[in-house]
Amino acid sequence: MATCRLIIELEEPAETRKGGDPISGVVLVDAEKETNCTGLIVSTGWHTHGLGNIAQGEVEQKKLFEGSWQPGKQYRYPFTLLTATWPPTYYGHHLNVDHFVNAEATIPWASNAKTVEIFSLVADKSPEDLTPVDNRSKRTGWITRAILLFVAILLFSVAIPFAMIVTPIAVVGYSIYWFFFKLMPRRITGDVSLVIQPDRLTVGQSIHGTCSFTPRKNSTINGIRWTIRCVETCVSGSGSNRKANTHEVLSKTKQLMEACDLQAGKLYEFDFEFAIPLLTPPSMTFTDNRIEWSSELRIDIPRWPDWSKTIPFIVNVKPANAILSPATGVDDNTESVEDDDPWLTEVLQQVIQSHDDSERLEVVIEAIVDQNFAIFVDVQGKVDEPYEADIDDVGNWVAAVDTRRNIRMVLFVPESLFVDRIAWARKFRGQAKVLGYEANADRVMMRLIDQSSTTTGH
Amino acid sequence: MQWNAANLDGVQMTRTSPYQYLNLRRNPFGELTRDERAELAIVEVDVLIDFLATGRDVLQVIGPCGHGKTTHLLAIGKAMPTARYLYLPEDGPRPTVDASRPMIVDEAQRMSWWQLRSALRHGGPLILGTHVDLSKQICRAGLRVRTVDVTQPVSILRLAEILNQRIEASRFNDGKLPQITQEIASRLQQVFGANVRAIERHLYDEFQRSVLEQKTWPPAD
Repeated sequence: MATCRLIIELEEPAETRKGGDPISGVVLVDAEKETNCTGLIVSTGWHTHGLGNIAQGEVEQKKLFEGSWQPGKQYRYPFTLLTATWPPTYYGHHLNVDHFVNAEATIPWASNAKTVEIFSLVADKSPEDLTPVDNRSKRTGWITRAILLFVAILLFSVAIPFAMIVTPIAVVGYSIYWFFFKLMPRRITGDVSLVIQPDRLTVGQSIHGTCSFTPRKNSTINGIRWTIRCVETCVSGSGSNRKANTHEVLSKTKQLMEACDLQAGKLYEFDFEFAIPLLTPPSMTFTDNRIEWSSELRIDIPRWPDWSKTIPFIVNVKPANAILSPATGVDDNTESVEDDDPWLTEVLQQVIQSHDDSERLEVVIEAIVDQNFAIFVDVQGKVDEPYEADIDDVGNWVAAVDTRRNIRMVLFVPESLFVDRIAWARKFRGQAKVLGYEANADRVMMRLIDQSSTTTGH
Repeated sequence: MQWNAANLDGVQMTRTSPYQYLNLRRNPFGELTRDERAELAIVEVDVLIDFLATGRDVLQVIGPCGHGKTTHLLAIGKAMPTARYLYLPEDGPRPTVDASRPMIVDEAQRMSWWQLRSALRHGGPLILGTHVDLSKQICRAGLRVRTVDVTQPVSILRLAEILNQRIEASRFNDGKLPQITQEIASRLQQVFGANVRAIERHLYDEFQRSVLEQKTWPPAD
């Protein structure tokens, strides 16, 4: 057992940090008895958790103290440390990314005392090395691959006589694959041109595709489908115990063409577009964990191998300012996300736009003073009462984010509704009134309404 | 043509940990680092360490994947900080099993006949994690062998302890934590036998489903 207890108190614990920004706080130390500490180290870092082998990174560490602690006294050690610029905080199914501040006191001849505090972080920019395979024409790649294959076969055959047996098997295997999955579909569809642009885009933006082909003969197809997928892939274990686990975060299929008869020699062309939803994760790659986006076009041919092609692309994070700043609180692509209450979106926009014009803000609030709105937010944690608040009731203030609209809020929760600390993280669905705007923290102030509010999951 | 992704069932993009309502900071049954696995291993190492007192002693931990071989080895490694840990991968270059002792060799069945003979010639203390019984070869080398067979199911009480230890290690804050009761542990053992990894994988998915639906966990039934 450690002879002292550490507590980390972060400044603005519920606040979402922008990647690379400093984080400040204080480490509190309570010693049970006189304790000699050879180093109180505080550090920032991140790690993955879930079904994949853990990836982790340390950002900055500082030694805050070395010496002796006396019992009955509380010691305070303020710190400011840098945060990582990448990856962003993420909570998925197989993959999660947490950012944390860790404090550890090394105590000779006893267990070290340690504690960790998690904070949330948004990245401003995705790294450049998230590169998808080339999504342009594959013809040049084909020739290169064929030459490489020939050279490899030659070397292999000369070097190892055994290859004389293995090589023909491999060649026959690949030929069968090529015949069934490349040549046969092409006999129906002709050469299919497929271009997906851009190969790198931002959450909220649209990916565009164009596809064209001229069938070589009259035939029937079951349809043409375009599917956008976002998949978490996490590898656990190593060697023979290595196992890949996948989870589909998103899969959306659009029927570009229903079942029909194709006419030989006729040009078929399609343009399509998909707006990457705001609620979905960006591409991420770690050693054994990744989030990948791809688009697949499939021409479904009855009683014949389908023509299909999968093209990966990269989804970048939305710049942190666009997420954290209330000035752009309502995203340009709000329409791409299910908006169950456009009136609330309009009201919140009006409140945000009026935040530095008190007269206009008063008019907006007056106009909606009797209206209740259905909200669905991520509750982040307890915060101090806003300066602008004027409420006599007993209750607590909590920070929250309406992730669908990317709007930060501060909610007054009446005593009768307040749930304890471990419930803060829950998504909250309920009714609320708009009270105003907290200028210091750039948040819309709202008050939860008692009668119809519910926390999810009870 | 354009369409929007409305009704994204099951999609959550939240920056607040979804596990905190259960007073946890992660799914307790996910992958751990090697240090964490050693930290959380519930293995009676003292008796095993006592056996490894001389240069003639070899301990083999035997069993199939997922039954706790590596956990045993990591726990022994933690209790014997001077021991060198070697993992022999299936593919790629393998580290050399040299003369340094004590030594822990994981996946020892991958050693060739010659490598095993050479390793045993250097004596003990040697700890082998293996899928196949190497006791004959060890005895033939004039060494003393003790076998820990991890295919034997642990007691219900021990299984509940192992799983609750994982939950405790994922604690978010002071306060109550979800618990695996002996009844649940017994049910899991009936289905998965001694395969603790399969039990953990099952619990991972079950836990994750509960979190997605924000339900209590473990489920009542």
